[in-house]
Amino acid sequence: MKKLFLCTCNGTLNKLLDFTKIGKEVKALYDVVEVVDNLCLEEGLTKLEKGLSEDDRLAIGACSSQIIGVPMKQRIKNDLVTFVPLREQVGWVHVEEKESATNKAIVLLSDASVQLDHMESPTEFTESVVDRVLVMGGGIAGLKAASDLHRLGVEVTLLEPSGQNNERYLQTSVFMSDTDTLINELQAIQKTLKKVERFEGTFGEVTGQTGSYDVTLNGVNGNEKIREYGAIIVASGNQQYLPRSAKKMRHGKSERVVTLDSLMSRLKKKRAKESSTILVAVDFDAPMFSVEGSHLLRSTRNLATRGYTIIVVHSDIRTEDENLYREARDSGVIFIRGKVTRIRENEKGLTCRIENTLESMEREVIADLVAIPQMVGPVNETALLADKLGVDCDNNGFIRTRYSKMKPVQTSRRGIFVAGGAKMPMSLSDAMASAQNAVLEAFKVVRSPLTRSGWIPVIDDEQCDVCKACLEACPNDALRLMDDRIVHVPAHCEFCGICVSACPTRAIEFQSHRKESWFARFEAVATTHRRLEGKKPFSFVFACSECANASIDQAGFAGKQYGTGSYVIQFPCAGMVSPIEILKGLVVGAEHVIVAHCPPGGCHHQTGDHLSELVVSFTRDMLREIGQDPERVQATYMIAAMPEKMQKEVPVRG
Amino acid sequence: MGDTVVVVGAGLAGIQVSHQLADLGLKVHLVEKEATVGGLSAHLGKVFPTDDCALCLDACEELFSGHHRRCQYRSLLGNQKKLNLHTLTEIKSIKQDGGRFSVSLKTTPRYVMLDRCVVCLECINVCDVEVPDEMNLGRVMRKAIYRSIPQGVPLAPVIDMNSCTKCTKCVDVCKVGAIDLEQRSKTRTIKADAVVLATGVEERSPSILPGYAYGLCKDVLTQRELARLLDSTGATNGKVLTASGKQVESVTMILCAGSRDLNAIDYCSQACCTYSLKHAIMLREQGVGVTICYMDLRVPLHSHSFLERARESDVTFVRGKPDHVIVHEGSPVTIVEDTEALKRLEIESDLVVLASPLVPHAAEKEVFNSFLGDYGFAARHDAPKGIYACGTATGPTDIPASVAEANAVALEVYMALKGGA
Repeated sequence: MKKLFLCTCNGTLNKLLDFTKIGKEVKALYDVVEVVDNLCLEEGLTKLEKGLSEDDRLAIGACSSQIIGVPMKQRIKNDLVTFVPLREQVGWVHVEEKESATNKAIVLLSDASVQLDHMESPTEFTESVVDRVLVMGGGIAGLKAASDLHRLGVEVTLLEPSGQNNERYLQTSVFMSDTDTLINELQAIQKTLKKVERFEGTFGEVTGQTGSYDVTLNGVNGNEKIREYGAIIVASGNQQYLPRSAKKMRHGKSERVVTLDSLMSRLKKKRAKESSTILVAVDFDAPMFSVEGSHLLRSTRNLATRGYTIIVVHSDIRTEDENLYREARDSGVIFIRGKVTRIRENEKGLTCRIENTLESMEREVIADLVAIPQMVGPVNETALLADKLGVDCDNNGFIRTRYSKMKPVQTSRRGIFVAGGAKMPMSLSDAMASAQNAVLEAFKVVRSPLTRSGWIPVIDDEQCDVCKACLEACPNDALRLMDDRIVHVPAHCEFCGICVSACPTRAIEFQSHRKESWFARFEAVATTHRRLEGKKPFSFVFACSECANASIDQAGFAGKQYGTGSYVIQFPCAGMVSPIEILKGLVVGAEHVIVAHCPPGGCHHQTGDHLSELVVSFTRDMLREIGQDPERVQATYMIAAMPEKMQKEVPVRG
Repeated sequence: MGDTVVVVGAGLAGIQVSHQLADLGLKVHLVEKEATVGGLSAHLGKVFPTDDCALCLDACEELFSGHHRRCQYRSLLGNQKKLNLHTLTEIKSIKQDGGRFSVSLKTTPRYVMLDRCVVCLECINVCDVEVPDEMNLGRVMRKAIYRSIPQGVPLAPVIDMNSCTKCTKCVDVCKVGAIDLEQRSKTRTIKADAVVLATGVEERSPSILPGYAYGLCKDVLTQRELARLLDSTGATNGKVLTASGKQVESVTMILCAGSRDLNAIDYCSQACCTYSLKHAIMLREQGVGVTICYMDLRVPLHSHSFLERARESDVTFVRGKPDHVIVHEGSPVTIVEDTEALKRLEIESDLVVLASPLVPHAAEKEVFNSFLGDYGFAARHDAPKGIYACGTATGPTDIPASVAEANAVALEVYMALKGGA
């Protein structure tokens, strides 16, 4: 049976909306319509539980699904449920227009009834996972990750480049901290790795999915093996290279021009004889990572305290530790903001011309040695490695994480994480923390079987001409080509539906969101709207279920009023909207169709914001071509921090 | 070993560490002294590096079926089985007893019962008492029963007993009986196996800093206060107005106002450069002229786009730290030596905004004293004392670093209590 539960929210919603009229109007659409006062409280939930049998389809007209959904889920097992947020998205935002608001509620409840007719149970699946993790090492974070995983009782393979040893680790990590700390940390971690499987070599093909990746390991002595891993941590570390300006500084031409690191190891603990002057020429144009800055400051301080005269010519110096800068200055390091423009060598030493950008002056300094700080980048193999793993890199060649604010180690591919310098140059403590982050995420993947539940794309092989557009479009690698068929990989699927809008032959339909269901719903909205509101214009807002829907809920909480002829249709992701739905919206009579997505670059599924903009722009072009007003279709982003968005996009109509 | 963890402070780091620990199967008590969670982020509206909501949380596993992160009001915070949220609760003492801790908590009354409130907000509508809203610089009024931000979790309102007249109108209108004006403070002691400090930072009030006319002139604000003006749910619906209500046309920002200064706070607060740039861009979008006076611009790489966007949108940059701000005919004038042009400038503007240093909350409370180091910041793991810390409690930083540190600490705590050797 199809049942509707309406909640008055403590007897307040029925003051804003005419519940008697609503009841009368929707009576024909549902087998049972029941009004409760406080659905979210014990008494309301009990009523709901008693009034429901397991196979009922249920519509809830109450507060936002995000609020009522939580206690409800704990009480009832029905999975064919739809929510109409009568409080946040109707009552609270149309307080001045009781009649129209009531009509809007009726329209949305009619839509819900049609939606329930087309609703399918979510697909549930459980997949076993392999309790083993591959750490692609090379950087010190890889050692830490392997060590922690081992302590957690997870089987781990540490893959290291050929010839990797402690000295190499030290050399490539020298910028991360002072040398003593680094050596101690390295020794301490190495001790914990005695029982960890270490493999020297590279890797070949990687296939499979999160929870079970098959990786080909190629050993240095030609041995090859294929192993299965639940998760992969990339911790390939950094390498240092000379800045572009090194050549101009006569590096390689003069013996007196050396890298700062080689100078440090050459001078070891030696004190300065008489007063030798070292000029440190920082590349003026390349932005400096704060770890590079700290390393520069530590090195120069060290030399200055041993009696050398140190002049650092630099642009911006960044450091995560303010004290380092102060200590360097206190120990006598001279800082000149500017650029070394020319170096000449003669018997006295090196005559360096410095352009002081602060004072717009040029001056010359005679130095015994010129030291060039090296820059830190990803190891050369990173691009190749990323390509084999199918993960993205950023402009600097580091491995990109999927959301910079709070996904510190998650790459664009599930089950593959990045730790330490492969993401960006890090201090020792940050690299250790980064390794711990990766371990935590990998551990969560491998420690229990993967269980998920959601509506999934269904592929019609008859319709599909294997054009692979969906493979390209799927941001999460959840569709693959196998034996000339497109196959769905549930472990990677985020139930966003982007594949549906990408498919040119309509071979992919999304459970509960089939094209027929959209058409039927839009028609139900339009017909009901016209019956109740006559010729008053109306609009559709196709809102993604994440940021956009939250923004619309928040408009309610913040009391941002907008016009009543606005019907929010929730899509799993704005990337699922195709021109077909937009055009159908216009065909049934909507004045405007607004596609609301997450902020630029902030789609929860990675690409929906961008794709929906493309779809809208394409649809607008189409409208223009056939002489229609393209302004009727708009794309915009909505976020909870901007609850006024709905107000701006849906103007109040008189 | 046991599996109970007390996390102090429900800002972004505290929530993150709690979610992770609960996901790993530990029992977590998350203690927050305010009525709602979010800490400093609740004031900020939009945040870098992603230029989206401050109240965005990493999704917990219980919620995870294709979701990655959720709004605070959509997260299960407060409803998770393994996670117990205590709001309006302070730590009275932390006693060590062998390897365990006795943490005593004192909860001051909200006067609104969380398990009864349906958030219909009728109580707020009927309340007659109006007081200046401290969340919004006192520029608008709020009721005695109120919610400080629209989506703060828990969603239920709180009563400010200092201004409540006990007229009982709210009690009468609340048919579910969620309001109890006689509610008392409660104390309880929790036996915990680990304690995580996620006590966070706050902007130091510039009133103790002479020279910048803060407090003398109402149009000298801090960056946090500016964030409240820029927030569309704030006092002015996102419009930036002077204290007298005039539309602001020009803003001067002073970075490092009271930081990196041996006579004030000598450390760098890490996040201020970028949030100042974020605000500068938002102001430019409204057509407001912006001048930024700085010593160094320390913008982390993942936020570099903010610097580029600020430059593209014609923000004026002056390299130099202003000596002082004088008040001329009611408006602030910034006196600064432009060290690049070697010129002394007097910049008149409608608003001066100070990037005030971020100072640790924990330092104000004696109960935490023995766990704190330099400047009142805590170490990530104080092994002898068995206390962990994460987020800005260990030093000022931005959200990505706070989140990463919280995750790292979650793993350390888990390993200490459960994990192997």
